[in-house]
Amino acid sequence: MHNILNRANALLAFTLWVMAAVTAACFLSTVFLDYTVPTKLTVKDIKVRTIADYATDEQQADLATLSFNLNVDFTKVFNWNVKQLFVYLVAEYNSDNNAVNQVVLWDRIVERANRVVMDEVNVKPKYYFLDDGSNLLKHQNVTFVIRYNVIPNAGYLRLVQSTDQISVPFPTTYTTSRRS
Amino acid sequence: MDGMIAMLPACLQLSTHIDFQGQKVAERTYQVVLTLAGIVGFFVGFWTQQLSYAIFIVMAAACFTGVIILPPWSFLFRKNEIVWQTPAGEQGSTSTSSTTSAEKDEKKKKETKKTK
Repeated sequence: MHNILNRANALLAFTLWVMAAVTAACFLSTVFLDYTVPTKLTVKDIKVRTIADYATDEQQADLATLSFNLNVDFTKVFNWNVKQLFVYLVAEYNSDNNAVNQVVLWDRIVERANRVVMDEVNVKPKYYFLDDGSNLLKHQNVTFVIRYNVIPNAGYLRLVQSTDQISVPFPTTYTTSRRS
Repeated sequence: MDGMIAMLPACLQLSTHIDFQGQKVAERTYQVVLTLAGIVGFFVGFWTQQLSYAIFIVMAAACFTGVIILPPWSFLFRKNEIVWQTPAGEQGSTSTSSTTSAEKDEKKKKETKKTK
């Protein structure tokens, strides 16, 4: 510590140490909080059509189109350790080929604000709901659930499932209309 | 680094040394100030739910401490001047110092022989 460079080095090292400790304390103060929120999700206008899928043996696959409403209040999820949320809608169902199929239909990044309410009406999915066979038709219950990643400022990436999910039966006939 | 500083113009080659007591005070100062800033920053950040406030408080305290401890303030860090011994090789003491250094070499040789 006899010259200025030595003192500056010691000061910088200790400053970074304190900043790391403050960040670790921030993580510890938020790790055991409850991040689940209830969601209001409704799915309607489900149509199933069969399309050519040349990559598979059957050469045909089921494609479903739908529209959904979503209403969630995320305000209580945000604290000083939450940077943003990555929210996505998953359709889960079982089939003869696979025990569990999970298809992500839609996602959205939700950034921090004082009041965060997601109110989506008549939303079309972002991604195709394509089955690897003909298992969507006549399916008794396809479950739709909202999950979200809580992206922190410090800590691990947390995955939360909302407390509500809905199961819908799919149509028993292929739709003939060209409009989805 | 000292070589690079020696290449600077003379007006910039300022001495920044401080005495031992001053070094002890300087180290204690930054430890106390930054730890307090960390604690205060955590509580401010927790109350306002903004991590940026906590980090800014620590950074501001680091700048404030830098102003206090980096320049060699004479009224804080140069109160107990270090008393250096007069260097060997000055006029009048060359003969005695050379013999003493020769005696020291002999002593070192004897010690190494003993250890072997």
